[in-house]
Amino acid sequence: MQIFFPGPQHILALFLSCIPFILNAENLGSDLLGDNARWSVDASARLNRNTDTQHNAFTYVLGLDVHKVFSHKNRDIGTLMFQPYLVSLNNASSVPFFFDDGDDTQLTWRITNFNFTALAQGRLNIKLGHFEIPYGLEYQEDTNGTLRQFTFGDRGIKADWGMSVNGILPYLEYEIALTRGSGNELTSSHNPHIFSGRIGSPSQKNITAGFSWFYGDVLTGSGTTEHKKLGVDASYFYYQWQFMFESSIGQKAGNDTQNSFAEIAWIGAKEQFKSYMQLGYQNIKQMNKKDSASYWVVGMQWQNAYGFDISAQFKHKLNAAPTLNIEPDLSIQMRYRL
Amino acid sequence: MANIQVKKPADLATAGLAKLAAFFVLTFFMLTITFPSQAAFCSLRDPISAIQALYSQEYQFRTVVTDVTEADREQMKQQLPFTIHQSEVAKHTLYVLYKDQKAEGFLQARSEWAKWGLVEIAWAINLDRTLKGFYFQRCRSPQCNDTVTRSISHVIQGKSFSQLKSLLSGDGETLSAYGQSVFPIAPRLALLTLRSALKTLAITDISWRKDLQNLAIAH
Repeated sequence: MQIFFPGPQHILALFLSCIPFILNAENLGSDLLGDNARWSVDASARLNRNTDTQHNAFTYVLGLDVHKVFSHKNRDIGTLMFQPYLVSLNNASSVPFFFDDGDDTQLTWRITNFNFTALAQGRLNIKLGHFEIPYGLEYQEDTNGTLRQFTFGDRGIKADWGMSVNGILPYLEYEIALTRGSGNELTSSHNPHIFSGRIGSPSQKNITAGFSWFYGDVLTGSGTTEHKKLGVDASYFYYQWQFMFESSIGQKAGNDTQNSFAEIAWIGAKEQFKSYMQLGYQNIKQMNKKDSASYWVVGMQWQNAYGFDISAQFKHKLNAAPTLNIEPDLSIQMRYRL
Repeated sequence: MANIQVKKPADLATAGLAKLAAFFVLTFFMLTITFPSQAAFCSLRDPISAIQALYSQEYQFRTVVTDVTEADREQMKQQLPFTIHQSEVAKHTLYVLYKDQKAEGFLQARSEWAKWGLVEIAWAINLDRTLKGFYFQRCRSPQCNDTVTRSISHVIQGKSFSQLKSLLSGDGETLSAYGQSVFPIAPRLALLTLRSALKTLAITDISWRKDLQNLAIAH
């Protein structure tokens, strides 16, 4: 008989699950976290199915979100975001390198940082911690915990530990970051680092455009991969339609690369339903040989007013090359934010 | 020699499906508990652009987060023929604007349903609860342009709650005859903006009363 010993991750998961029952949810923000605080528990289950090999992989996520604004007399000092998430994989075939294998459970960090905002009324802030790397379309759309993603896969990293300067000016938004290059874990092995940034037009407008860069060595399971990338992005909103585009040129591990991405999305009038179609293209030149690959994605997301959402997505190649294979992936996710 | 049992892919998939089923049971159990839900916090941003557009550089601001409750929602019905949506019973933020260490006004961003989706309007309110101005933080219609914004702003700027209310019909669903005469351009957008203004003024005093008293800037 196998005896199950709970690990620290199981104890944390149990603690996170019980928070709403241990404490009065209405008073938690003010009693435990002080003024100007919000909190939420986020739980999701995801199925990824490779439709060629019929292989199923499962991902279970349980996390805590805390958002708190610190103020003093007549001004805000800064904003704290704290999002520890427990991620449990089951039968996964390709996993991020910080998991031991496809049946591992790890504590991960989504957005966990302090943004010091007391310097110039939002024109110049200093952020310290774990945050989304400022680059392209990812910068202005919140895709954390959703099936819908943009182009971070090209760069091999979505969020990182480090520091940034950021701000909003009347006709400009910017964030410039220097980060560790190690993603979830704060480690100095192989000495990775990333210098990245995006400068763009105001994100609340119906037409936006931005310029981004991404230079550095990204930590992988077997060392680091050098990236050099310059990109442009644009988006346009027209009633319930959203059109987005991003394109970049650069180098990955010394090989010339080109990437393009486009998305058309339709959002229901009550904003509970969203459907989208994406097209992606990548080109890489290795030893005087060019390889290119492209894919399409269709997806939908429906959420109700009580924090429950269900989403589904299917990704398939349009064309592939030996060095750029794209597996067909059917994903279904259920998520609940308490 | 150790007896190593290699799990078959079918076993792993079955275990995964069992976990998935357990998760769904747990999720539906949690769904029966009606806590208000909240958006992912990564998407929460201060309305810096609105503050820059509606106030000059000398202004500082501080955040005041409060719970807008079901009781607040009911209380609004005593002042207006409509109230906020049930999904708005949650935590909301009021920004208090300061100039030379002295409170000068408030800013609050509110969302309104339009037939093409949410319209987010940031409202600047003077201490005497007249309107200083507004800013479309998000409006996916090309109609929300500078010309229309200026024309609506010209009418409602400096007006109090009762003056704004006179621009609406008795049931609050249409513009009054006076309202129709002063909003010749984009009357439907003007109606949406007007309803948003009235809800904002009402909810500021209902839900933030204690917070404003603590900051010694009650009306």
